[in-house]
Amino acid sequence: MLDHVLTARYGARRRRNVVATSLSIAATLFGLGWLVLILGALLWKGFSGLSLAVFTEMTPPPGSSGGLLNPLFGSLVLTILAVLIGTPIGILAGTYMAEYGRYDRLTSVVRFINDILLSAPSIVVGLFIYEVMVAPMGHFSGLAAASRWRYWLSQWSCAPPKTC
Amino acid sequence: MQRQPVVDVAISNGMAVSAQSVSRIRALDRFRLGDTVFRSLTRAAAIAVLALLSGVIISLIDGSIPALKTFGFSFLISERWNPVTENFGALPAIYGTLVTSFIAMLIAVPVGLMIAFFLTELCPQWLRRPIGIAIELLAGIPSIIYGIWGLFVFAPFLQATLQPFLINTVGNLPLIGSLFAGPPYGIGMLTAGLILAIMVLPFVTSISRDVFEAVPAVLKEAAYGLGCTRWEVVRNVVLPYARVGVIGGLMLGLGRALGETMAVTFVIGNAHRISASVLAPGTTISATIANEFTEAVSDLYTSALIALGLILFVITFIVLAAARYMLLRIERRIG
Repeated sequence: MLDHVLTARYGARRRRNVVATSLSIAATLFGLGWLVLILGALLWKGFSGLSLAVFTEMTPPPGSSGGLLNPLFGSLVLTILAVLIGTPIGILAGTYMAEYGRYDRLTSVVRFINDILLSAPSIVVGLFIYEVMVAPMGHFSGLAAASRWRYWLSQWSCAPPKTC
Repeated sequence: MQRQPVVDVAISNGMAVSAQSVSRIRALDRFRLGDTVFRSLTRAAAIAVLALLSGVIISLIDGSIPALKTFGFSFLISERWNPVTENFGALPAIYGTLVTSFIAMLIAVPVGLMIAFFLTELCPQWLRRPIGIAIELLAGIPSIIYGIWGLFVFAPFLQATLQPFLINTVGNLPLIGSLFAGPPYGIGMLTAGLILAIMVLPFVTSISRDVFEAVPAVLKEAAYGLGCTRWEVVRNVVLPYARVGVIGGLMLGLGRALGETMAVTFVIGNAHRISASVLAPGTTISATIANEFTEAVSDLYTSALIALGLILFVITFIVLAAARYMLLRIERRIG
C-alpha cells in the first residue's frame, strides 16, 4: 500500500520535472526564434534593396531613386564625435573610481548615479540636451546630437573599470 | 616634506649631499606632481559625471515649471491631451507606459527565468556560450529595428492571427472579456507590450543566468544527493538563494521597458486615451515625447512634454534605486 503511494508520488515528481524541463527548452527556442525571425526579416527584405548606389548617392526626394549616403555619413560623424568627447571623460572618471577614490563617498555616489543614468530613458537625456544646447543655439544640430551621445558613452566607458 | 621617503630624508639632511641624491629628490618631486595632477584630472571627470545628472534633473524641473504651474496637480490625473486648446494631462501616457511595461514583464520574466534554468542546469556545456550569446544579441539589435519589424511584420501578423483569436475566445468571457474587446488593429498596447517583452528578455535572462551560476555548487549537489529532480533543485534551492539578485535584474529590465522609445512609438498607435482593451491603440510617455516634440510650437506645449519626461525620470529613478538597493543587500550578504 505504502509502496503504491510512493510510486505514485515519485511518478508525479518525475512528470513535473519533465514538464518544467520541456517548458525551459520551449522558452529557449522561443527566445532564439525571435532573433531568427527579426534577423531573417532584415536580411530577406534588406538585401534586395542593397546596391552600390545606397552607399554613394544622397537621399532622394520621394519618388525618385538614390542612396543613403547622408544618413550613413551622419551616423559616422556622430559616432566619431561621441567617442572623441565621451571616452576620455569616461576613462578618467573610471580610473578615479578604481584607483584613487576606491573607498570615497564620491565613488559610491557616482557609481549609483551611473547605474541610474545608464538605464535612464534615452528620451529624457534627449530632452536635457535640448534644454541646454538646442534651445540656446536656436536650431537642431549634429553637435547637439553628438553631445547627447557623448553623455551616453561616458556612461558606458565608466562601466568596465569600476568593476575591477 | 612630510611624505618624503626615509632614505631621501637621510641623504638630504646628512653631511654629504651628492649631486646624484639631489636629482633623485627632484625626480620624486616630479612624479608626485604628475600624480597629483592626474588625480585631480580623474576626480574632475568623476565630478563631471555627477554634474551631468544634476544637470538633467535641474533642466527637466526648470523646463516643466510652466506646465506644472498652469495645470497643477491635475496634470497628473487629467485624461485630456489637446494641443489646440493647450489643455494637457499626463494620465493616458502614464497609464500606457505602465500597462505596456506590465505586459512585457508578464511575458519576459517567466520566459527569461526558464531560459536561465535551461542554460545553467540542462544545456550541454558546449552549447551554453552560443545560446547565451544569441540571446544577448537580442539586446544588441537597435530599438528602431524592433520598431520597423514590429510595424511591418509583427503587427500585420498579430492582426491576422492572435488578435482575432483572442477576441473570439477570451473576449467573450465575463470580466476579463473587456480586456480583449474591440477590432483587431494590429498595432496597440498588446503589440507594444510583446515587442517590449522581446527587448527585455535578454536582460532578464543574462542577469538571472549569472545569479543562478553564483549559487554554490555544494548546495545544488546536496539537493541532488537527496534525490531531488532538476526542477526541484531549481525551484527549492537555486531560486530562493538567487531571489534578491533576480529581483534586482528584473528591476533593471523594467527600467528598460519603461523608457523604451522608438520601438514603442512605431507600434502603439499614439492615441491619447485610456481604453479598457489592451488591443486598442494607446500611448506612452516616451512615445508622446518622441512624436510631438518637433511639432510643439508653443512654450506651454514644449513644457508639458518636458514635464512628461520628468515624470518618466522619477518613475525610472524609483525603480532603479529599488533595484540598486536590492543588489546592495545581496552583495552585503555574500561578501
